Parts: sequence; structure tokens; C-alpha cells
Amino acid sequence: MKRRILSCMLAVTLLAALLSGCGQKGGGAIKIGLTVPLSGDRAAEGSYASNAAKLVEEEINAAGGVLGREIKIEIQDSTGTDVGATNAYLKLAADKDIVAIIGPDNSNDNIAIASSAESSKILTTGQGSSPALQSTCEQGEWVFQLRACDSTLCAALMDYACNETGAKTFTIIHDTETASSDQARLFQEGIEAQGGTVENVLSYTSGTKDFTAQLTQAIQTNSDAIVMACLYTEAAIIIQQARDMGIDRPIFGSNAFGDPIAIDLAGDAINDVYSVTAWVPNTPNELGAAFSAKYTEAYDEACAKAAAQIRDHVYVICAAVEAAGSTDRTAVRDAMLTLTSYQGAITTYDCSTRGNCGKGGLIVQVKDQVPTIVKEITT
Amino acid sequence: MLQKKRIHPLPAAGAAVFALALAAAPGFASVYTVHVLSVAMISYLCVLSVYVLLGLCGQNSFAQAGLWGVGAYLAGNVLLKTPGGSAAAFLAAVGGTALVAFLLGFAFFRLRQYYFTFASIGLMTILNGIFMNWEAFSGGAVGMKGIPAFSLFGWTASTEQSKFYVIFAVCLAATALILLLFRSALGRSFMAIRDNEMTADSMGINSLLTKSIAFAISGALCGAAGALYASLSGYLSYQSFTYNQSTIYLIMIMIGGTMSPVGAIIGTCVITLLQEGFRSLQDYMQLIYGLGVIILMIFQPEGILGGGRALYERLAKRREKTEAGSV
Amino acid sequence: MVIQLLVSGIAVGIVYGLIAMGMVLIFRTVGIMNFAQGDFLMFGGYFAYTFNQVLGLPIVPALILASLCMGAIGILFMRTSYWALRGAQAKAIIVSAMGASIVLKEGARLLWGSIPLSLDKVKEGSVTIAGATIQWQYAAIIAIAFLLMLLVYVLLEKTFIGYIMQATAQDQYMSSLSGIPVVVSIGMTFALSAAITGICGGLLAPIFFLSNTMGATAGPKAFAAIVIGGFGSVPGAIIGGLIVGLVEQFGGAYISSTYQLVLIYVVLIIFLMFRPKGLFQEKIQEKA
Repeated sequence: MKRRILSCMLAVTLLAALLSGCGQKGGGAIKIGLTVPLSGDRAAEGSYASNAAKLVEEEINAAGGVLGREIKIEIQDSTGTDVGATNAYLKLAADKDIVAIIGPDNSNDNIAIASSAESSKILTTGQGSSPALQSTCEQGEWVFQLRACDSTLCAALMDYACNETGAKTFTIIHDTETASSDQARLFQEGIEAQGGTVENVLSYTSGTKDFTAQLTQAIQTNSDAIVMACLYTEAAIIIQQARDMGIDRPIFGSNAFGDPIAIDLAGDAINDVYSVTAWVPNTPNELGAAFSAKYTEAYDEACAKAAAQIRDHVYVICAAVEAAGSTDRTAVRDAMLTLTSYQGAITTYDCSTRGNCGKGGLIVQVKDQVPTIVKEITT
Repeated sequence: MLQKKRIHPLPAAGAAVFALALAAAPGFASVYTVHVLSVAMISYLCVLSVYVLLGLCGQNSFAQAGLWGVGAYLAGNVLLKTPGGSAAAFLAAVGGTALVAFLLGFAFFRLRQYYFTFASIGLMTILNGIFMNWEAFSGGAVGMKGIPAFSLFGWTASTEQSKFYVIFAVCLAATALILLLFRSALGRSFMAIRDNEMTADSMGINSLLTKSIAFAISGALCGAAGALYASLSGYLSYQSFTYNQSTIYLIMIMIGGTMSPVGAIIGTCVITLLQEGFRSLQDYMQLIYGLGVIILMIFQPEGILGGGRALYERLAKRREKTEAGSV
Repeated sequence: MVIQLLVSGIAVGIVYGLIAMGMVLIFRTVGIMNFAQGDFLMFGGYFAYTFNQVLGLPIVPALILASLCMGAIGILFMRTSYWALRGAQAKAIIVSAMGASIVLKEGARLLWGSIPLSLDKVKEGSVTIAGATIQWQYAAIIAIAFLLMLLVYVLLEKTFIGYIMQATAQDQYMSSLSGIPVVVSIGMTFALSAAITGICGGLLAPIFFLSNTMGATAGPKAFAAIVIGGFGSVPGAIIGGLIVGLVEQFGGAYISSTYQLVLIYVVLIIFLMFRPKGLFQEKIQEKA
């Protein structure tokens, strides 16, 4: 009998706790939601994002806010899973004061929240860069891929590889995780479009730490160049192991290979590696350089893409609110569509297309542990 | 005095109030709350599958999230690639997952206790690898998107609220079926195996077949959960169906208590509350969750339900004593 | 290519074997698989990082200090997640260890942040023998692994403390009757296990890098090593680790690099089907 009472009490507590979270009303501030993984495998992304959010919030409020009101960024933990991302997203969407939500850090989680975004009717900016997210955004009404899609960037890197370094045959090594396997596919398409040949495609499961099996096969295939699509930790590990095994042919990598985390971890091994990315901390973009310096001063670490991206997302949303002249969710979304050349810290954004809003990118080569720009991609 | 099993009025009323409160929730709660409750009910189905295996049959499996995934992808495939519709997808998910589980059980249940548990960890990793890489079945790492919502006879569960009620109905039906199983001959042979497998064998129970049936039933529950999840979220990715998720189900049933489906309900509620209710703690949320699990295990090693029952029995004994004294 | 794969397979396998050895020590004593062993690995790595990078000590003393700290963590873990639950069923202890695993992971993230870190190697660079390249760090790991195995062997088989620990593993009740302080003995076992795994974490950190989910992939592979080697056998754990390492390398190179991880578990299941007791029989009798 007691256990039933206990279970009832628990149920009531559950409901009460869940409901109490929904009734709070904010003051006069304009609220922007942010879902990033604060825990789980990708918590590093979340720590960059929440650092940047704090910085941008102060910056905008110090400059007088938006529509004369202060802004406030509310963060919810997406825990790095699509279930967690959807819960976090709906928690934010339930708050009537929130005008727009910045989606999670990877494409899968963004696709997972897309249907909730359509039914909640709230402007959502996706941080993922996959072609799958691009098509999701273009089919929907409310989600914007506020970033350059990988399809442009990967093709540009392969164009550079085939035409400027003279490599003709390639071996691809990639993580089977979503972003990396997507990038590997795009690299392959890019190589074939330029008349090169892909001699071997090797992959590994996320979390693999020893790449001898993949690298020995790559050595045996003996292509002109190796193309790698990995996440930053694995990027650092694989490049160290490749150098130890004496691989000195040109290596082209996904955006992780130009990331300050990977460069820090890998040390000298990562020198000479080419990669394609939208952001480097020593960017030539004026706004970007200013933010990068400010971030490094505040947190004593290099400003990664995850941080710069949050800065741009917040600014773009604020611009949309300014343009709409109100905090009405539909008005803000409509105003967002009119931003066709907004200058951000990473690049220029054209939001009228919803998908692939970021323009251009950078091909970089790491020299003395600094990503040096060898070519700017303009599209 | 004759001991007779009868339905106690108070617990029955409690269960009814709980079910009614849950059923009424979409009327006043936000979309977020409704969604969290829907996900919790799907978890409950998976936890119920652990109850059948662990609570009734004494077998510990870490492959439940994998079976959940099998159900979800089966439903997704039927919905996207055939004209079968929701009912066919649901049946395919339940039946298909049960069949897969039965066959796997038949192969793996030659192993006892720990050895089976380890085989199930292996199975979980293998299933996750398949979800991640087999493009024709699961869409590969990109996943499967655009799965339509549940619909039947021209009615479509398009809102969070209507999806909630579909899931709620399935949960009620599943709970009723499992309660029937508990009282059936099959259920009793499960418990005989749990208590002592060798004795059960010597009493003429085919333990291999019976354990495989238990695994098939748990597979059917996971399959149902998978089909519901596919139509709730509309998107499936290998990241949902992991070993970690399986451990969460085990934690849920152990926190609640392995002796009854009520334990599964309590465990699901408590863990969901620990995970969602402490969102305002931000960075510290997961830490509190972990600490909560340890503390609950230390103070309620039999689960909250087990602790409650012990308390109830102590009180009942005391009352008997006082009643005896007053006569 | 074959030699290269063999060398790497052995090097990685020894690492899995060491983690498995830590688990086996605990399993023999209390009959429970420790689901938080992978997190001991991660925590040991972070301690080594703190001594080496934050306090600036050379790597060898840093590793020794880290292993001492891990010993303390092992005892703390024993008191909270095992001793408080020793009367309960095994599943309850497994669940509390899972809770502890979450606490360790999240604790490490709050203390050391979520950005991956690195620390010094015992010796930089690599050496090439017969066409196969091996990092000096791997060579050091193999050497230290043998040293640790020898130490554990001497400790368990030749010293009084070892006798006490073995007696406790055989029968807790009997040994308490013969005057052995069971709690001390079990505490020693947990401390030893955590210390070994912690050193391993410190040695792996410079090549695999430190993050709070570092143990998540190594832990299950160590499980596989234990099953293949035979429950409760220390040499079995090492041999099992080597088999896992070699299957990973050769399977990845010759069968499928995509399904490299899956292959390990296929081998595990084949072993379970056809040789469920593993390669080595248990020294301690199976507990009823």
C-alpha cells in the first residue's frame, strides 16, 4: 500500500518539478535560447559555446542592447544525444520570451530538432554543416543552416589538391561518425570531379585510438596524397601516428585539422597538413580578429570555431530582431529571410536560402603550428 | 486466517489516480513537458523489457537499447519504403524485434549469468556498429529522417499531445499484458529459472527455450518502444541506440525495484526527474544524477519499491501486534 | 606490414591486458565486475597531468604520485560503491559502480575541463626494427607492464599481504573468522587495482590524449579481454588483452576497417560460444 502511495507521491513530484520549470516569466530582456552539449562526449564544444555566449551577451548589452532592451542568452544542455537535444530545445521553445534558438553543435542533432522547430514555430539557427541538414533547412520554414555547407568547402579543397599540388591519386581515411563520413563522401566526389582517382577508402569507428591498421594499408596503397576526415582528438592522434610511421606525402584534412585543439595536441606532427575550414583564430576578418583577441584575453585559450560561430549566430539573430522591429517570432523569422549580406566574424551570411547561409571559407596549411591561409574560397 | 490474494483498494486507487494524472497532463502542461513524458513512457517500455528479463527471469542484458534500435529502424523502413502504413510498421517492429531477440536468445542463452551479460554487451556494440554503417537498413551515420507520424484510419497523431496518447495507450496495454504474464504458467516458469535454473530444469522446464521466450517478449516490448520513438521523433540516428542507453535502463529498473512493473514506473520517473528536473544546475546536472544513483543504491539496494515494501511490512506487523493486544 | 601490425597489436593489447588485470584483481576478491574501471584509467591520466603539467614534475615521479592518488581513489570507491552495499545483490553493486562512473567522468570534467589534454612521454620519438615502427612510449608501456605484472605476482604470491588478499578472495567469512581484517584486505585490492589502471592512464595520455570519456572505449575492450582470457585469471587477462589487440589490428587491416570494433565482439561471442570458460581456468573456485 505504502509503495503505491510512494509512487503517487513521486509522480506528483515529477509533474510539479517539470511544471515549475515552465511558468517563470523574464523581465524586460530579449531572450535567445542556446542548446549545446555541456556534458557527454562533445562537452568541449559546449564549453566554448557558453564562454562565447557570455562574452557576446556583455558586448551587445554594453553597446545598448537590441531595440533598446538588454539581451539574455539562456543555455540548455543537449547532452550530446538527439533525445537530449530535443528535450533541451523544447524546454527553451516553451519559454514565450525566447525569440530564437541556436541549435546544437552537430548536424544529426539539428535534424532531430527540425520537426520540433517547425511545430513550435520559432526561428532556429543550426550549427551543423552537412548537406543533409541543408536539405532539411530548405524543405522547412523555420530552421536556418547559418554556416557554409561542407559540400562547398570539401569540393574547394579537392580542387586545390588536384590543381595546385598536382596530386592525382588519393587514399581517404575517415571516421564513420556522421560529419566525417559525409565529408569523406564529398571529398571523393570532389576528387572525381577534378579527374583524380580515389584508390582506397578506409574508415574507423569513433573512439578508435590506434590507427596502425588503417595507416599501414594507406602506405601500401601508395597514393600521391592522403585525405583524412576526423574529429579533432582523432585528428591529432592519427597525424602523430602517421608521422611516426614515416608518412610524408601531402595530407589533406577536414576542418578538425586546422582546429586549435588538434594543433595543440599534435604538436609538430601536424605541420604541412592542408585543411579546409570556415574559421581560424588568426583570421584576416576584422570582426573575427577583434573577437578572437577578446576571447583569448578573457579565457586564456585560443578562440575555436565553436566560439566564433556562437558569436555570429547571436549577432545575426539580433540583426533579425532589429530588422523586424519586434520580438514576434514570425516577424523575426521573416526579417531573417531579408538578411542577404550580413557581415559576421567568420564570414558573410545570406539567410534568404535557409540552407548553406555562410559564404566562402579558407584553405589553410599548418606552418609552425599556426594555420596559415593559402587560399580564400569565395562563392 | 486464510491468506488470499485480493486487490487492495488503496493501491488500486493510487494506480488509477497516477494513470489519470498522467492522462490529464497534456491538457495543461507545456509541449516540453508532454514531450519529456512521451520519451519517459518509451523508456518505460524498455525498462519493462528489462523487468521481464531481469526481474522475472533473472537474466541481465545490456542489449536492450540495441533491440530498441532494431524496432525503430524496422518501423522506419516499413513507413518510408513500403505503403504499409503505421499499423503494419508497428506490427513489423514488434514481431520483427521479437523474432530477432528469440533467435539471438536461442544462441546466447546457452551461456549462463555473467557470460550471457558479456555476450549481450558484445551484441550491443555489434548492433550499434550495424546501425552506424549499414546504409541500406539504417541510412548509415546520417540516419533516417522524415519518418511520418503515427496514423490509423485516416487520423494522424500530428501534435505532441496526440502522440502522447498513442504512446500512453500502448504503455497501458503493455503493462496489462505483463501483469497477465506475471500470473501465467509461463511467468511462473520464468521465476523458477530466476530462483534456481538447475532446479527448474529438473522440474521439466526447458530453460533454454523459456529464457529465449523471455528474451523475445522483452524484444517485443523494445520493438514497440522503437516504433513509437520513430514516429515521435521522426528522425533516427545511431547515437540514440548505445550501450550507455542500455545502462540507463538497468539503472532505472534497479532504482525502482525489480519485483514489479511498478518498480519500472518508479525508476523511470525518478531518473527522468533527476535528468530533466535539475536542468537549472547546468554543468552540475550530470554529476548530481550520478551521485543520486549511488545514494539511492546505498539506501535502497532493493530499489525504492523494495524499500517501500519492507517499510509496509514492518508497519503491518506492528499493526497486527497492536490489534492482537487490543482483543 | 605484418610485422608492423604484430608490433602495434602487442603494444595496444598489453594496454588492454593491464586494464583487464585491474578488473580481474577486483573480480577475484569480491566477485563483481567493476564497471568503473575505465574511469580509473581516465582519472589516473588526469592526476598524472596535474603532477606533470601543472606542478611541473618529471613524468616518472608524476606517474608514481598519480598511482598513489589512484590508490586513495580506489579505497574511496570501495567504501562508497562496494562496502556500503556488500550485503546486497550483485546487480545493485554494478549499478552503484555505474553511478560512480558517471560521478568520476563528470567530476573530471568539472575539475580539468572538457578540452582534451596531453602530457609528457617517458621518451619521445620512435624506433624502427625490421621495417616496423614503434613509438618509444609503447616500448615503455610494454616494459612497465611487465614490471607491474611481476610486482603483482610477487605481492600476491610471496608476501603476507598477498596471502591475506588471496584468502579474502577465496572465502570472506572464513578469513574474517581467522582474524583477517576483511575490510582492509578488500581495500588493499581496490587500491592496487586502481593504482595499476591509473599508471596505465598516465602512460596512455600522451599518445591517446586525455578526455573525460577516455575510459569509455578502453573499458569494454578490457571486458572482452577478461572473457577471452577466462574470468579471474591474471595471466589470462593479459593474454586476452593481447588477443583483442591483435584481432583489432589484423582484422582492421585484412577484413574490414569499418567493422574493426565489431570484429572484436564477434571474436568475443565466438569465444563465449565455444570456450565459455576462457583460455585459463579460474584459480579461485566459482562462487555459488
